[in-house]
Amino acid sequence: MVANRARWPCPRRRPAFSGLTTSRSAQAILDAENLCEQHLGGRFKLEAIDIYQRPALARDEQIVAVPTLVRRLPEPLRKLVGDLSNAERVLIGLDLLERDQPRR
Amino acid sequence: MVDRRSKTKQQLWTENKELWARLAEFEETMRAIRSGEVDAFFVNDAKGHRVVTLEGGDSAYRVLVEAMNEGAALIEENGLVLFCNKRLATLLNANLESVMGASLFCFVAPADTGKVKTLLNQARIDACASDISLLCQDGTSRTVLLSLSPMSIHGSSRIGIVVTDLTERHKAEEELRSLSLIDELTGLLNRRGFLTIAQRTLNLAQWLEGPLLLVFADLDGMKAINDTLGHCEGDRALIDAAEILKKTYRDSDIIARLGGDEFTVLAMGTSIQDAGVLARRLQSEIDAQKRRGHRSYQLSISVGVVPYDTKAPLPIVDLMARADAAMYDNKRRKYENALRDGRAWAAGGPSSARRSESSTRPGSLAALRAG
Repeated sequence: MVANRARWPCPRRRPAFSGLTTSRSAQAILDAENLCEQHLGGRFKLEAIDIYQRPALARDEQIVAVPTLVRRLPEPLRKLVGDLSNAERVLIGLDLLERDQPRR
Repeated sequence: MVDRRSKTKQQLWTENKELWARLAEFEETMRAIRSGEVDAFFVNDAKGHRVVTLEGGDSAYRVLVEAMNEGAALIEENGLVLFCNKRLATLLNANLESVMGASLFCFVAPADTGKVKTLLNQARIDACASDISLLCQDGTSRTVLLSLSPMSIHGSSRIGIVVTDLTERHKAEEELRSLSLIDELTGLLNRRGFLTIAQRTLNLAQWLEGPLLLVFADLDGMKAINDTLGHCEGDRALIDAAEILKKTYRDSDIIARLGGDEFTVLAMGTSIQDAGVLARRLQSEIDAQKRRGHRSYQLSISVGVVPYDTKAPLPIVDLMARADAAMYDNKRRKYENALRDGRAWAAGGPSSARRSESSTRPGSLAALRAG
């Protein structure tokens, strides 16, 4: 039986996150999406990866704990583990906001 | 030389910055782990790669969710899918990434959107479930049982859903229905049920050399009841006829509705000498039903009776043909008597009734022979 196909694919942008989608990770996915929408003005692509379901990818990405947010672009690659509800922490962690510079 | 020294300094600065960033990343990771902000660790060692939860081993619940044959998902109260297992993605003929983060409503057939909205509202308070149609990515639809349960995760209200594919169950039910031996309306055996049991009963009578009687019964004026009083009354007349037959014959006798207004009874241990007693008992039950006087029709049943001759055994279908012919003779006599006495006969007479009532019935004798 062929039904209405117009509804696929879903128009909503997918939340993107690298990590296990357990309770904390589920919340982290939403936090990451909200943060990107607020601070990156639509110039982002997010991908959610479940390490239970895609362990090989987690190994290749050298993920050690979840939830982990990975910034692939712009290079260099940056990772942030843990709670993503603090926007400043995330932006600094991903090198999107200047951190306190080391003393030279 | 100045350029070279300057470039080296630049390189050193970049490397230094990168090292500081890596160090900060490492410190931040350690802080997150110490603060309990992580769910699990991904371990890659000689045993291969595996996920170790903070409880100290592979999460049995998680393994269970991934291994189950039902689709499972954690959603927000507005229907946003936060997590789903592989089975749910498979049910939707989609990949995991296109399901997670999408709204549940993207996967619900338009006709069931309202139903799912109601379910989501209900699931904020209590568990609920309903059959719905899912819209798969390839455009097909799939009937599933959608079960929802309220959940509280770290203080946030969420809804857990379990999706059970009903395709196989519906197929099995359909198969079972087609294999059913019971007539749904009257609760008697249907044609299939009767033929399944009757031939074995004949074989048993043959072996025991005991008497056996086949009765063919037909409700008079069924078409007139349907045409003038409606099909609900027609169904009620059939149910009444079935009750009368059950009261007339023994529990051990095989009573069946062959289809339409045709009934048959196979009475073991009953000889043709008992036919008169049975006919009087049948009429007595019909009269008792009439006396109750709560029906808008007058029931009348014509019967034909043939004995089973163990010396010259016949297949059940041939025996039924003879009983049918005997029944028709009785029906015609009743009609002629009614004409002679000036009484009304419903539906114009047995000939017209026969043509209109029996010719297209799936359970009629023609169908039996063809089958």
